[in-house]
Amino acid sequence: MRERLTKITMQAFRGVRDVYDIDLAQSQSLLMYGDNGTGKSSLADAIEWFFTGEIELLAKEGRDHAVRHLGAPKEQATLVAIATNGELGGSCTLKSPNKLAIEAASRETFLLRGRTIADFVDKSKGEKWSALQRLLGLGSIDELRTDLQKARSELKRSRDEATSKTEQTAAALRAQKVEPEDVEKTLGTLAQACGFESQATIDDYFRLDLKTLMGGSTPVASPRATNAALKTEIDTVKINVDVAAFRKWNDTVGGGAQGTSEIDLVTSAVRWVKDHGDAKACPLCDKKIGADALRDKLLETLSALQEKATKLLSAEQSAKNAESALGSLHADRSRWRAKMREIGVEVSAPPDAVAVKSAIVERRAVDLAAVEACIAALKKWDAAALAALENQSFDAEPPSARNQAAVFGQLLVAAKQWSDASAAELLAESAFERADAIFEACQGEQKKYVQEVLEQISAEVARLFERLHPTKNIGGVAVETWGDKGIELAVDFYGQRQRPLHGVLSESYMNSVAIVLFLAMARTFNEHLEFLVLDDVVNSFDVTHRGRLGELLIEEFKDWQLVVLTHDRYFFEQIRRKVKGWATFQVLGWSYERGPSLREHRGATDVDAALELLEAGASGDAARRGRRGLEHVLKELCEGLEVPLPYRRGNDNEFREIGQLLSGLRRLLKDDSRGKAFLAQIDGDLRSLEADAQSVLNAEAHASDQGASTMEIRTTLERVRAFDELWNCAKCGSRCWKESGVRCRCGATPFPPMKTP
Amino acid sequence: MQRRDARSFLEEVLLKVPDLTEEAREALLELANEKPGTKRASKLAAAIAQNKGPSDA
Repeated sequence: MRERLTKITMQAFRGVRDVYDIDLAQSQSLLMYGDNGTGKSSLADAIEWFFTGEIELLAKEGRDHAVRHLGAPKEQATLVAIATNGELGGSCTLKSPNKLAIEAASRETFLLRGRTIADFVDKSKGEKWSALQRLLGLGSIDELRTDLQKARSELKRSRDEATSKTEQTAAALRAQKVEPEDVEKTLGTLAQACGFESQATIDDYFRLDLKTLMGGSTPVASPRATNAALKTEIDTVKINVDVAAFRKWNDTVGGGAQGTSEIDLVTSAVRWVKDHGDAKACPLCDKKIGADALRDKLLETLSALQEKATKLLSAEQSAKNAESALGSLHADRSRWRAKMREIGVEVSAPPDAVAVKSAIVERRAVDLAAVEACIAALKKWDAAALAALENQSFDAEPPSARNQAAVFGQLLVAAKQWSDASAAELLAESAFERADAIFEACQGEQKKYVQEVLEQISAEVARLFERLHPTKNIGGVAVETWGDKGIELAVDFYGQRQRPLHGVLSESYMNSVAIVLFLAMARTFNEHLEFLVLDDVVNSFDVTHRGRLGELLIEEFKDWQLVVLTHDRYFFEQIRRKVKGWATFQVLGWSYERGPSLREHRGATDVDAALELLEAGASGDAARRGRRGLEHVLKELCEGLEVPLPYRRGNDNEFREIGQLLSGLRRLLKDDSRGKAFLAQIDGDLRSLEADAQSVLNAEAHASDQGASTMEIRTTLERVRAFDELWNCAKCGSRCWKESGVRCRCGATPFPPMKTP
Repeated sequence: MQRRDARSFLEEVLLKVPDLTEEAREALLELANEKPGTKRASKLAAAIAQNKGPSDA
């Protein structure tokens, strides 16, 4: 059995500080309208969190904390409880996700958000692919592919590091005139020269008691070997100082960054103000100020100081690391110089260190020019040291046992380092190859799987798409294999097959494709969930397509529970006036303490709601609501009929007066003979409505007198209702300008809808 | 055809990778249902690297 939602409860969750319920006891559909930032999406977040264990928007690192309402009391756990008409209901908290629900929903498609559609329409190819996976409800598989790709990259980095280490250790062997492949043979020869048996492997030598075997003498490196080892070390150790860290430090201390002492001072002041609720002056400067204002001011200052201090600490750590690297460079060179002296090579002292440490401790700028000059001098010193070592000549060393032992010992250490590095490289290479094989298999399987899925829903996608865009020139949306690029969505576009869609379709058509992919996927595959959540999905649709999508949802998904959240008033009204039995809410606003505040729309239309208010004795509110109903009808007519209205900048187009809308409608109807005849039929009604708008429905204009009577308001509301219904087909109920602007959807009523005499 | 979740999908993928021990296979499948992101990617890398099978013996 597929399940529907019957109740959603949020506690200390997203935009809800305390507790908030949405009751859908009859498992009915839900329609919610509200402006941006009023908490609508908290509802979609709650359903997503309960059924997937995460909120996709907050899944990225550093956003986790936003699941919980910032101001929620400590004792209040973050919780979402969902009741269903089956077995999947329950609750989940931050630490205990609802495993049963997540398991059941892991193969289902139930949530579509406007931003996923936007990603599908706008983003780069890779991001579009991910958005397509999310649309289809296959996001977790795509995330797995992404993580396997990251794992492969991590193992590739390890492999590259291991290879580099092997190369370094092999270079150390070559510095001793031994090729890595000959090292065991050379060690064997030297072992025999030292008077003991050669061993099969490098590790075998380490198992021997070499000191005893060599007659108790500790091997001492020969000048030639020390020379070679020094040259290798100087050549290998690169000068790498993060000068950018010093630059960032200079910018930070130059920008007035704050240390902890000032923070401590202001923190103490905040504590003092808390303890002295009747304070009338600042404890820091003694200026007169009320306790509340003082506390706010201090908290604001503290927050700014803490932000600056965080920046400072980060820059300080980076600068200290760079200073430490610089210090090591000097220490290395002093050590090398001492060793060179031991073998009779003289070089000048390394360049003087720059006073970086003291600058950091005293929180002042580092002398960047001096740092850069020092690095250049160190490089010059290295070149001079290498040249001096290169020019050293050696007397022929007698092949004494002591010398042989020194050469053997030095080679054995280098051989062991090379051997360990080679073994680590082999393991790292093997791990990378395995990760590569898994990733490639994953990528191939994902393409195959998505292709199978899309092929299965293609016919449904094409059918639903044609309901949204019933034109003869665009259709046949389907998935196709396309050369070595894998799979692509394709469309018939003016007689030609086009791939990908983005090349030929507009943003709103792409929007439609995204929506129908989602709908077809859910309808084809869902086994456990019988609800769909659509969160702000009509952003790029014009009025006609918003209407068509509303009809498609109502008609094609009447056996489903729909949760439609929108900030589009027209889309909301379009659906609201056509459905019965849905829970319909308007979000009036949101506050930090109370969360979203909702008002339930009981009547199907504004006129119904106004009549309810009238019954309840609120005649002023009824008049206002009736006026708004008339405005909505006129706006819908003007948008649907594309009435030419003077353009207004910004949002002013949304706030036209009734008189302007009526004038526009009249102008349109005057354009042809049928329109003129129709206008003649309804002009009396239009004049009455115009007059009603200025008098009966204009509650503010006569606020000071007694206002219109209940009877007058009721008559006017009925007139608004009749005017609204005038444009509907009596047979199918749709507006008469559907389908290319000339007829209703069933075709029975043409535009204009002439009254029969 | 049957819809798949991340774990059943990965099971199918790993069948195509013969050079994998049973231990590593189980560790990877356990990670399929974990929260996606950099941490899971590192755990996947560790599970793949620690594969102790005939090829690494």
